[in-house]
Amino acid sequence: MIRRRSNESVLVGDEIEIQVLEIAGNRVKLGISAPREMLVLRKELRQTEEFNLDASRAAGAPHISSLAKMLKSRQGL
Amino acid sequence: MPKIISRNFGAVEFSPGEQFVFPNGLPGFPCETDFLPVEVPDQLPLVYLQSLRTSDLCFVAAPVNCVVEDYQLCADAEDLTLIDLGPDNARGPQTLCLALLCFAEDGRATANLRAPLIVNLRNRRGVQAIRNDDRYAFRFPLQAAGGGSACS
Repeated sequence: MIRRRSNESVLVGDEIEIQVLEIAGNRVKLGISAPREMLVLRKELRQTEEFNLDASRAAGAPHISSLAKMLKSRQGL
Repeated sequence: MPKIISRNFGAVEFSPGEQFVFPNGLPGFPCETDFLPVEVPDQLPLVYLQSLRTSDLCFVAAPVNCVVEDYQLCADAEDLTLIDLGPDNARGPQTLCLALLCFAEDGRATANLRAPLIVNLRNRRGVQAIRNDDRYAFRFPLQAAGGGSACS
């Protein structure tokens, strides 16, 4: 663990720098310098991609009718 | 009238402009921008989202308020701007908010409440908006195999 203040940085290897640009409430703005070929993305985006790939195989799944009934009852239709 | 051959539904005719358009595609599917909402009467309130580009690609979604009562929508201004919504008019009858569903092999279903699909029904533009908070899960459990519910 490394503690950093605003405008301070950490280095990862020789080519990656992560700088704390701004701290506001519970949010931190980071500036990331990395080689162009290195993918930098929010973890939530990767999690969403993974979910979507799994979800793309959902149509035709068994139990889908019982799930629909359960949701319908919750909706009060 | 345009027609799509769907793996799940066979030939489906639709009206021009009936599809939802996600200008940025969906995470993991950046080239898939156009999806036709398909409802199967005995499977309401589920909504199928059939890709107009790929006949094999079809998602299953449910309105977030059917998954959890009183879902609190929270989206970045950037995401809302993409579909011509603002923070003041994002909630209302013109906005459809769907959670994509995923089924495990044992039948257990989960709903992505962390990154719902938001569709502006006025222009039918949509975005998958990833929340910045962790109020809702990426894989919210819906139903145990065999029909038990984890939603109540």
